[in-house]
Amino acid sequence: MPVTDEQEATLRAQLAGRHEEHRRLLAALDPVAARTGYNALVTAAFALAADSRFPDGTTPADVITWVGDIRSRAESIAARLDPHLAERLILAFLASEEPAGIDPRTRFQTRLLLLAGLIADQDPDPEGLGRFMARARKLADEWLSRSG
Amino acid sequence: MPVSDDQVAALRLLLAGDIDGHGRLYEQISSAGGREGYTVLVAAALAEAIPLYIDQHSSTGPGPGPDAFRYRSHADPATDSAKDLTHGAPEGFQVLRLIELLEGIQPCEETLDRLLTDARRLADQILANQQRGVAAIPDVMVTAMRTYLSVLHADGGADPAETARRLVAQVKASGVAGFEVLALAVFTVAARRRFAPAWTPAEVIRYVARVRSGSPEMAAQLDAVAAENQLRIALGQDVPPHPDAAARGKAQMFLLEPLTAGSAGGDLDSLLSDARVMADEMLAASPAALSRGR
Repeated sequence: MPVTDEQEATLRAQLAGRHEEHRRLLAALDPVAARTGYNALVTAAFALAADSRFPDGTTPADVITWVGDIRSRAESIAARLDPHLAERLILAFLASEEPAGIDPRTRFQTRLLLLAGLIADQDPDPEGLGRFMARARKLADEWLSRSG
Repeated sequence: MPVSDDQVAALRLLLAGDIDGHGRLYEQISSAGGREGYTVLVAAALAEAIPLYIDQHSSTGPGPGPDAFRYRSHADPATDSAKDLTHGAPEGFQVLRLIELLEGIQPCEETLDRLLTDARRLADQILANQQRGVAAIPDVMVTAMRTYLSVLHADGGADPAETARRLVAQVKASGVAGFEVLALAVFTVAARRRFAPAWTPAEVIRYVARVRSGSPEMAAQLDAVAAENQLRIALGQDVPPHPDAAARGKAQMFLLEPLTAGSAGGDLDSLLSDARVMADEMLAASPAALSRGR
């Protein structure tokens, strides 16, 4: 099943910083469908944003510094974002590898936090965020159609 | 009770390789209730031997190679020969470390005598402090810490930082737990100086990230969350300690190098002086820390 409008609207609300709306939409998502569609959308958005933020030649030191920068922005992020895990996820993505030994829920939550940081760095206007979400949804749909 | 001539003689016999002679004398010491003093003497000898070892290896070009601290084949405390060598005594592991260290020093008779004299003086100081219930950081420990910090920042040589880390492991394992207290005090004073006059949690996070990004070893070895936690505590924030004691200790050890970078001469003197005052206060608040073996 492809990504739904509700799933896209939920992630978009979060990335736009509309937290109340995000919480409301998230609570209304079909939990079974979210396990595939929403998860794929977050993963695709993370891939696109990370690809744009970390070009070829990015070193582990660059990633460590960036994660430190993200965590230093708010105590709540510092507490929720495990730096070593965050670095592993980014470095694995840059190496086109699937990080082993991380439970899916933790991996999803970490990617979501990192995605929020990556989008905050880009600081897109509503149109820019809309274009980004459309690309992410298209990529997620491609993955979902391939996985049947 | 101060260290006795028999205790010094027993250690000398052991270091000279007279295992049987040492065994006989050790039995006498044990039956006379002198094991505790002997244990302190061994720990003190180890503490005295470390600066000697470092002096010798840091002043002659390349430092000790990675194998320099490797145990001799018989120096595994689990083997029968090691048990024979140390008579299964609780301080046996320290004895093995001491022997190993002396192999690296290759002391002449005169150096060995001086080492034993200094060790006896230090052991007497520790025993007297224990008896009076007064705990203080002995001079030799400050010297060892100074040596450690100097080696940590020395240029050239074969990985002086690794040598220094091994040195700390040796000192800590010597049972002279005061070194650990002094290390904590140096870490605290250095952190406060680094982040003076004011700091924010964000600065601490970025600082740790910068340190970890400095080398693959730092990135792998330094637990970011534990490091941030230890810095916050050192800076006076009332937060619970990181739950992993090993990660806490490692974080302090690995942060000491960047925190003290640039400290030389007078700066280092002042840092050590402040740290010693703090360590003495810590020990006065909890004297058991000095005599507690590891």
